[in-house]
Amino acid sequence: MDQQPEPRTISIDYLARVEGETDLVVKIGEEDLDITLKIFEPPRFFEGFLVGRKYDEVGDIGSRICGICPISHMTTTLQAVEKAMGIDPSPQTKHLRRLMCLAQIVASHIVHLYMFALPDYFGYPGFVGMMPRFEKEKNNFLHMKEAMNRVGEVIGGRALNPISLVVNGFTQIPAKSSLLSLAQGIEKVLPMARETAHLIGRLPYPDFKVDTEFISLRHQHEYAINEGVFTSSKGGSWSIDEYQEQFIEEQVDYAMAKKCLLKGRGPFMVGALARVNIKFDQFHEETKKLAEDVCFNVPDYNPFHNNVAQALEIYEGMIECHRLLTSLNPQKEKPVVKIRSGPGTAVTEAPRGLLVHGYTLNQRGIVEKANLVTPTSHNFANIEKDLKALAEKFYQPDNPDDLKKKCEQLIRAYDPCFSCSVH
Amino acid sequence: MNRKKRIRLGVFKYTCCAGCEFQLIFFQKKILEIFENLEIIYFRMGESGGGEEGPFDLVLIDGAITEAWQADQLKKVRQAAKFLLPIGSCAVNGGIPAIKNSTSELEMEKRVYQQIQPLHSMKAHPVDDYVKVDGYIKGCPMGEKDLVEAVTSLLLGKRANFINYSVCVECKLKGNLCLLIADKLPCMGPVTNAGCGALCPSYGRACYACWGPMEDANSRALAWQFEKMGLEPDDIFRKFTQYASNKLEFRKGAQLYGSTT
Repeated sequence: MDQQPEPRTISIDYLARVEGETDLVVKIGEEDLDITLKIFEPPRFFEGFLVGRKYDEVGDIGSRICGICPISHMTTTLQAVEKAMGIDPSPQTKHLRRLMCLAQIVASHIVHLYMFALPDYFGYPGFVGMMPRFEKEKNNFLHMKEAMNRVGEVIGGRALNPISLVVNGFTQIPAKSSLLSLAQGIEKVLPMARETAHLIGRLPYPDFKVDTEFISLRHQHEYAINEGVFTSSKGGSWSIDEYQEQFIEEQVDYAMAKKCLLKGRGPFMVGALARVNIKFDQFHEETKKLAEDVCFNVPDYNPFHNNVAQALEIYEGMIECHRLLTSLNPQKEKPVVKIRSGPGTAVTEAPRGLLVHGYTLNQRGIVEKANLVTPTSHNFANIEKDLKALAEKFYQPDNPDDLKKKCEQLIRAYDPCFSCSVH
Repeated sequence: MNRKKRIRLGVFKYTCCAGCEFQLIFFQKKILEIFENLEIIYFRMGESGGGEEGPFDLVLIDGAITEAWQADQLKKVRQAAKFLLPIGSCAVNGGIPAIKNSTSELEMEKRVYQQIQPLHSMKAHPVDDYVKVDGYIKGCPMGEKDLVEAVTSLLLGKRANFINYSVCVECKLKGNLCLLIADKLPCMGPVTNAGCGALCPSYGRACYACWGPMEDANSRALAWQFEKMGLEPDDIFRKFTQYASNKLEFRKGAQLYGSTT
């Protein structure tokens, strides 16, 4: 009667409370474990249909890759086009873009933590159901989100898919007075960001550590968002132009998203935890103090703590936005473009990590080649690696539901965006 | 017990960026009392669980249809729904995903994937190519006014009165200078459905038609105007194929300058 037992299978169909569509299958055999993250998000073929489109529309089209981080996609697209054309935008343009991108990172983190992550830890199917009993959290969530959305609305015209951002500048420069009123709005919600960090820092995360290579952009003088060089927690740094040589993007047969690896090294993690681990020294002092208050120490190797890193970035982002809003003195500028042919690649820190856009333009500014790599493609291999370690540590044959729940929580902690990853 | 009957809501996402679903989450603040009248039956981005079979009072569809399973599910959902509305440009017009429609599907697949066997994508179509709809919530992302109108109308049992005029009307109401006439910018405002509050023209930018065509818009006349202004044929073609290449109104503008199939 010596029969080989069938491997136990844990499967999650169409994971809820993430952006986009994926299934997860965990197969637990006698000897080994098999993990597949089946991202079935339908492809939209951005890299295909951007070919033949003109430089002045790729920013608007690019922003539609993601409904949560359109500003990051737009900014990266514009920077890639500028690189191709040999345009170096004014410091004012760079500051305003940094401001918009930071505001969006903060807003995206807020949504992820309250709408997607929190219900897991309080046993609710969603945040809407939580709201009646969590009045204070609901108010913090809505007010913070509103204050950060306002930044996008005032400078960009619209919080999602803004319209004033174009190649080499803005079609309209905001008045000093409107920037100051945005700053006041942020002052009001700053205490809520502290409360958020305390709430998120206190959640009962699984005791789990994995050896991880973290990669983020780093800049000499500031917490890098739109400029910098690749920096790895395991040593090494590369310029943006070296992206193609250092990173591999592969197609797998079970997912519509491509998977990224660091050449010669393997999976790596990008996003809030990677950034905080690599650039903690560049936080404002108040944020460092807040990290201490919530007992967060770097380097942190628990991927569930990506939530805590996001909460710290909310506070840090608000302080930095406030600094920019009060110090900028906007001057009238016209976005002038001289079309030039050539290739250009740009990399930024989107809310979920490294975002790459690369375009080759012809002499009329029409796209001949497009290449996009999103944060979730960068994280794809690492999510699977962590899920495997998680299953090895926490699988109990008599209680498979516990592991299933932890797997869901882990995927959510990465704040994946499957729509972005497939694009 | 005095309990009001709540609207049973379903939200389904197909091929898109999920930005409209995301917008939905934020309308809560401004129209909280409306959302208190909603019961979420199916909304995967917002809540775990929930059944596709409904029944629903209101179903919102986000995204274009580009795969056969989506069309199958959509038809089932339609049968289980009293009211069904596409939300946002992708669901209403095919939107950005429909840019690919003027190139062959095989060519698109090859440009993006090395192995094309696992792909089963079709051309991008709006929701009303497959099922009857009870109105359109236009916009990219979808506009708030039309959504509020749809939900309040449902609660009051009245017919919804959606915005059905061009962006030009909103420009005039705001007192904007006409970019097409004064600045000779190729503005799509005259043929584009309003609802955004003439956003781009108010920021000194020509409208790029992200809300899709106004019903019965005369795109051909605008295309000729662009031609007179000195735009190249391929530039004109791109203008009418960025947001709603499927829609008859825009095809009329595009087809003189390139192949839309």
